[in-house]
Amino acid sequence: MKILSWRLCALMLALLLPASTRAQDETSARTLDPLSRLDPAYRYAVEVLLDSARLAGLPTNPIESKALEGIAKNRNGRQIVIATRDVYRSLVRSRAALGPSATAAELTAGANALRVGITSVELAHMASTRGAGKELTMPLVVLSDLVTRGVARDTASQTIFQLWQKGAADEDFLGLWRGVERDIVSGTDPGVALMNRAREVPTRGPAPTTPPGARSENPETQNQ
Amino acid sequence: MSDQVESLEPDLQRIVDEARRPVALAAGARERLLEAIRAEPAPQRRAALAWMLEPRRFALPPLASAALAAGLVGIGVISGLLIHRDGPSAEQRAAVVAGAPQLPDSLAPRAVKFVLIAPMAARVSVVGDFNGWDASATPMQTLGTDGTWTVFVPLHPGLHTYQFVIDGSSFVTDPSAPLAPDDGYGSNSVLFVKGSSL
Amino acid sequence: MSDAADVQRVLNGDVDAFSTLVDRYYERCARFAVRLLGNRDDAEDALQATFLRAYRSLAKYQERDKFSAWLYRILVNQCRSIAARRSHRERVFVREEALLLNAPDRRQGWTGEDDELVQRALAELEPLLREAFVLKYVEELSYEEMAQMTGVGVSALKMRVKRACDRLRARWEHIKG
Repeated sequence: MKILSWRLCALMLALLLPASTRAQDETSARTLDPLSRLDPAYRYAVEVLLDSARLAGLPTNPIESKALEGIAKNRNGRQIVIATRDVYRSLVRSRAALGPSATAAELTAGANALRVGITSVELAHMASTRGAGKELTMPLVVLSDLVTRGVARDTASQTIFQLWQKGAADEDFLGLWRGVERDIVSGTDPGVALMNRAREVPTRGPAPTTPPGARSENPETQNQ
Repeated sequence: MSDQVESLEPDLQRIVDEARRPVALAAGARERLLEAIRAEPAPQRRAALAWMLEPRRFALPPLASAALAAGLVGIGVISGLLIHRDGPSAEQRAAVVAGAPQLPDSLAPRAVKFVLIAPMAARVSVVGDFNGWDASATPMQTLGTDGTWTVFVPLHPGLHTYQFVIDGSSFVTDPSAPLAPDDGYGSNSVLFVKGSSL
Repeated sequence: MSDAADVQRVLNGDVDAFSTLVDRYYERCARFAVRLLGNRDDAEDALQATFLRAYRSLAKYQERDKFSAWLYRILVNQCRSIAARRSHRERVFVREEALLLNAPDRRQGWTGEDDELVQRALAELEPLLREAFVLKYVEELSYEEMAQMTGVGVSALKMRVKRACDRLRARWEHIKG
């Protein structure tokens, strides 16, 4: 009987509890205040970053999460503060490029794009051509992923921007990403894979405009 | 250095003597505090036995409440462990999605299924910005036959980063998800959860 | 009544027993928070947060711990959080605030200048040194008790107290004004 087994499990749990209350208290303390595992000096630095983010109206979860991730991965305090500060700074730059109406998801995706070398100007340009109800998150996520996997930065940003201008939807970007990832895993050069798959994305909107910083209309001639 | 109260030189002693004087906070501070306390629900004794005997009051076992406080809504997962060997039922999944009735639809958590195929793993959990990267917070379940590990996690709409942890120590990215750039700890997997109105 | 007995009364349903605990510790905690944070508003926030958290986690208090140590551990953490949240510009001990801090105590010949002296002195110390100094000399705790409350080792705490005293000595002329 389901209820019976529920009670039995609960009984087992209750019997286990007294023996492990101290460990549980420490676990509770950790879960109630997970940053307490940081040395106070480093914790202080992280709290200052969180406070600055709060004052600036930036999302704090990515910042706090970066610190907790470092703790979980046993990084030293100094590394944790450096990585956390990088997240904060890239969020600041992302907000400057994307504007005050950017969602938290867009800000984080923008921060990732900045970290792979997309410029603030390129980011701002994408944001300025954003139509009503269209979010930049997915194209930026795909863009960051492609560069991380080895597509040349200029190739990736121009291709993504062109698709964005053409009105590609989130599903299109996701589909593009799946295709490119499959090709890369099969051994295709990342840049070539992107070029091939980008041609398959359906055109929905107006003709592309040239993004800033583009040196050539012909992506194939760019050095990979 | 000994632990006895060392005699300080007169200048410092003067500071200390003054610092030991009582200090008054603003008028009414204590009353405000007591009012705030009266507004709180009464603190519950950790009555595991009482909880067992009163099944109508749905009180989570303390480990589950700590997990809940950590931001990990394990209701679907934890009750799945206790009740069903086969993983969360459809009712539990629905309960998980409906976990935050006060939020508008577009902000309410969506149940997301994480899957990893790891036939050689003894245990797998998912860690990320939704559970403080705590490897013990969200264990995954396997049927044990084909090495497929799964878990349902309610996630608020937005951009999430995560990884899987194999056997408590190996952090791996999700082969089926986009990557975030390396930021000093390596690359993480990215998941974009959309609100239900989108 | 002992602290532990009062805790049990609260957990058994007599929530008013918690105000007994508050009364017992409020002034001492207020003094600590004000010395650490330098102004009454932050101290009031710290005390509110501390006693609320203590109230909410009362079930986790274990009788073998000293209640005051358990409470102070929460207080130390709350003070640290509040201190961390203040911007650099704000982390100054305001001269006027010092004069308002104490209720005038003319029987003991208190003058406002003395308390201002304390605040100026404590303002010389960075937060963790100040924390150690106040715990050692104002709260008069042993290093073992301090270690329990702060999660820092005894030798590190001794070093902090020593550095605090060195700093105060070095800056005495400036502090005196």
